[in-house]
Amino acid sequence: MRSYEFVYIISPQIEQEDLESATDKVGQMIVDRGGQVLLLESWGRRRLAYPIQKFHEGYYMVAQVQLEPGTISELKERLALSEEVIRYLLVRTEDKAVEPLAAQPAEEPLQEEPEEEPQQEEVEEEPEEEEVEEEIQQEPVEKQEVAEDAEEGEAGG
Amino acid sequence: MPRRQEREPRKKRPFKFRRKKKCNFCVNRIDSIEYKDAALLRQYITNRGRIKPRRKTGVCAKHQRRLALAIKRARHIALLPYTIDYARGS
Repeated sequence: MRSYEFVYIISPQIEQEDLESATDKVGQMIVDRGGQVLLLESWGRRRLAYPIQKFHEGYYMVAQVQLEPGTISELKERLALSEEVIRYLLVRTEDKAVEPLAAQPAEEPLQEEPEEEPQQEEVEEEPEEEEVEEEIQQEPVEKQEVAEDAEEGEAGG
Repeated sequence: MPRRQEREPRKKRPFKFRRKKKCNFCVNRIDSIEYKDAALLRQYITNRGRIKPRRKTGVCAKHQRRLALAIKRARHIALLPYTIDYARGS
């Protein structure tokens, strides 16, 4: 058994209520082939960066799964036939943990809500001087870049 | 036929110090680059969707390889565009 990260996009034509049955269906495909879904996470309905099958949106699902390597091609064939899954990505992840259930993913979802962090304006230490110094040093770099860009423009035109 | 105006040879610019850019991933000790982090990857594609060259971003060779792979994966699942088609609709 190997660990994989399995991202798939469900067609926006699926109703919100039927979403669960669609994910169950995909989960069943994995279980049928002797694999298991350790973790399933939904990113919800998101806009696609480009249309897939003429859809501009989709429900993103991210799963951590365990699969027998030999069954993958079979699973992929099955996914290709699926109406619900319009795109998927199956990539191997590091599996150092031997016990499958202990393998909780260390990385947290990136779809984090921007939590308000109380900005502390208290001045600690004295980092100001250093910052000023850095700014001065960076200045010539920026100038140089601008000059170069201008040169490129000249050469092109 | 108008005579081509002779151009003065371009003056040599005096050498200016250019600080070498540092690889952001090395500085922040990021080993593997997460392909699901579209916001991060967006910094490394041009406004037309191409992967920015190392010479522009200062990323080291190791991380550029990983970055390229992450961007390609993100493109596959439509988190990032393959191209931004400006011609459309005009």
